[in-house]
Amino acid sequence: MSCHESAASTTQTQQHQQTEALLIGHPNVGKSTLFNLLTGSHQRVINAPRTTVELSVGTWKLPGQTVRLTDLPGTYSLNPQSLDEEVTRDAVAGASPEDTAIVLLDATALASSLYLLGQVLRAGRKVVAGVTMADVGQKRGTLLNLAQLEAATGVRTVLLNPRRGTGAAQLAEALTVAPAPGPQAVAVEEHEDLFDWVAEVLTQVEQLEVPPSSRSDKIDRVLLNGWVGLPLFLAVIWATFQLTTTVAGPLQDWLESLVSGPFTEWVTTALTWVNSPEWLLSAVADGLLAGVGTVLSFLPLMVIIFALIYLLEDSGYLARVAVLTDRLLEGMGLDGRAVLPLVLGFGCNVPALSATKTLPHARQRLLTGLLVPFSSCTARLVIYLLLASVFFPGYAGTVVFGMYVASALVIIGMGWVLNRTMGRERKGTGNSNALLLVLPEYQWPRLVPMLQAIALRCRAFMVKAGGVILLLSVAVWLLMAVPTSNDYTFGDAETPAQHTVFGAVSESLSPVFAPAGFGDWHASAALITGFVAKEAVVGTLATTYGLEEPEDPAEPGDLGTLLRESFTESSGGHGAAAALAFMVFCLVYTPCLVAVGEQRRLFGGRVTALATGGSLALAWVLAVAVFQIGRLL
Amino acid sequence: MNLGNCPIGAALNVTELTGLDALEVRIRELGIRPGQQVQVLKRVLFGRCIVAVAQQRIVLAPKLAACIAVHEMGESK
Repeated sequence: MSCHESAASTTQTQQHQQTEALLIGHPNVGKSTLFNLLTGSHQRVINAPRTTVELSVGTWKLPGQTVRLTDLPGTYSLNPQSLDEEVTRDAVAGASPEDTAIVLLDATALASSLYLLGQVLRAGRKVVAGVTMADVGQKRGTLLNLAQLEAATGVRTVLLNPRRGTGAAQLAEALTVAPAPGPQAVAVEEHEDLFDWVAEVLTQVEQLEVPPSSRSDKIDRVLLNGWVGLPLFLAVIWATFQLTTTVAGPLQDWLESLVSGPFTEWVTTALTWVNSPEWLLSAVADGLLAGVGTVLSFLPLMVIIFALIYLLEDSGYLARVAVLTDRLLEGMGLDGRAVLPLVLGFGCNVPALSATKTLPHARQRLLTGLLVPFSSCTARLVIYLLLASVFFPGYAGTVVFGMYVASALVIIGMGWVLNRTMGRERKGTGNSNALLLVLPEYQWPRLVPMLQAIALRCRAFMVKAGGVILLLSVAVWLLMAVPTSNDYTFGDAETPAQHTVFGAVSESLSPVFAPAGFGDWHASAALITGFVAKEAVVGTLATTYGLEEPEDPAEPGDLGTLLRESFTESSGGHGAAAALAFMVFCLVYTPCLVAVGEQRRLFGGRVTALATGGSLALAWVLAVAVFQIGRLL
Repeated sequence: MNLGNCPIGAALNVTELTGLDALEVRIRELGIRPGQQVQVLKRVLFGRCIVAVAQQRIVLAPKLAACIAVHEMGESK
C-alpha cells in the first residue's frame, strides 16, 4: 500500500463515524418493527446486565456512519413498574451525552408519548422523535402538524411508518443534525411540571375533534363479549393445534427422515470412503446428525408458531385475550396473556416456551417459562396410552384424561407456590398485579415485517437452542457408545444397552426410583432417553426388553406382558400404583432436551439448571407420593 | 361514584385517585388524573372496564377502577 493510499484509508476511517442510539417508546408503538427494518440481519439479542430481560442490539449502516442501535423494552414512563422498564430507565440514565435517544411518539396516544419524551429530555440526552401510527391517529381525529410539534418541543421530529417501511431516510438525516439537549431539558423537573409541559405542547400542535367511536371500539364490542371472545380464543387455539399436527407434523417427520435417511447415508458413505473408524461413523450418525435432525425437525413447528404469535400480537388481538382470561391467572401473578403459552404447551412445550416472549414483564415470562414444562405435551400421551392400556385396561381413557387433569393441577399448584416464593418485581402492594393495560388498535398484519420477524426468531432458535441440543445429543450417544464389557468395542451400535455405560447408569439409578415402585433398570433407562425426547420412552422400554416398538401403544402385545411383570416385581405386587407413579414422573420431569435448549436461550443457564433440577425433584416426590398412597388402596 | 360503578358511556370527569399505591403514578402518566375527561366504554368479564382517555383505551381491573373517583360532566360534585 502506498503512502497516499494509506493516508486515504486513514481519512476514510476517520470520516466513518460510529454512533450509539437507543430506541425508546410505548409497547406496540412499532419499535421492534422499526429496529428490524433498520438493522435487517445485523442484530443479536443480549441480556441486560444481571437480568433475563432481552435487548436487541444491531447496526444500522448509513453512508459514512454506522449507528449501533439498542431496542429497549417498551415503556410508558421512566418511572418503572417492572424489571423491563427498569432496564429502559437505566439505559437512558447510563447513556453518554453523545448517544442519541430515538423516542417514538404514538399519534394515537400523544399525551402519554409526550410525557415519555419530556422525561428523556429531562435526562439530558440528545433526542430525535419519530411519530408512528399517524394514519390511525388521523382516522381518530388527531391531525398532527410536524413543524408545530418540532417548534413546541424543540426536538427534531420525523414521520415514521415502520410497518410500511417508510421514514428511515428522514430519521437518518435527523440523526446527523440532532442538536444537543435544549433548554426545556432542565425546565421540566417534577411530575406536575411535566404534565403542564405536555398540556402546553398539545395546545400548540393537536387539533382535536370529538373522538369518534373507532373501528377498534366496534370490534371490541363483539370480541370482548365473554360469550363470543372466549369461544373464539378456544377456536384460535384449536386451529393452532390443527396446523401443528396436519401441516407441521408431516413436515417434521419428512425433515427428520431426510436427515436420518439419505443425508446420514451420504455422510457415512463419505466417511467410510476415507477409512474412518466405526466409532466415528456411529458418533456422526447417531450423535451429531441425530441432533441435527432433531433441531431441523422443529423448524416447521417454530415457523408456524412464530407466525401465529406475530399475527396475534401485531393485529392487537393478544391484548384482548389478556383482558378475557386475566381473572383466571390472577392468583398465579400472571396476566391473561400467559394463557397462550400455557395452553400451547399441551401441544408442544418448545414453541410454548417461545410464546412466553409475548408477555410484557420479565417476572411473568420467567414464571410462565417455569410452568410450561408441566403442560402435558402430546409426546407424553404415548406413554400414558401404553401404561394405561396395560395396567388399567377397563378404564384406560379415564386414566389418560386424569393425567391431563393432573397436569393442570400441577401448573396451578406450582404457579401458586412460585408466585409466592419468586418475589415481586415491584415491592408488593395489593394492586401491583392488578390488570392495567393499554389496548392497541386493531391492525392488519403486514407480510414483509412478519416474514422478517419469523426469520430472525427462527435463526435465534437454531443458533442458540440448537447448540445445546447438539451437545446433549452427543452426550447421550457417548453414554450408549462406551461398553462396560470387553466383548464389545467403543461405538459399536450392536452393543446391547445393558452392556454400555448407559445401561450401567440406568442400573445404578434404579434404586432411586424404588420408593416410587419402579426401581427397575428398564424404567430408569426409559427415563434417561425420555430426557432427550418423551417419544423415546416407549421405544427404549421395548429395546431394553429386546423387542420392537409397538405400532399402537394401546396394543403393546409382549411388551405389555413384560412391563406388567417388571412393574409388579419392582413394586412388591402393586404394579398399577407403580405404573401410575411412572406416568406422573414422566408428566412432571424435564419434557425434552429441545425444551431445555429453548429454556436456556430464553432464561439463561442458571435458571435452566435450577428448573431442570427442581422438576426432577418434584417429579420424584410426586411419584413417590402417588405410589405410596396407591399401594394402600 | 367511581369508574367501577359509573354509568357506561357517560362523559365523566376524574375527581380523585385514592388507594392505588404504586400504580397511582402510572395511572396518572397514562392520563387518568384529576380534571381529565374520561368515559367507560364497556365492562367485560369479571368487572374489567375499558376506559377511553382521549384516543387511548385503557383496561382497568375492578379494584383499580374503584379507586378512581369521577363525576358526570355537567353535574356539580
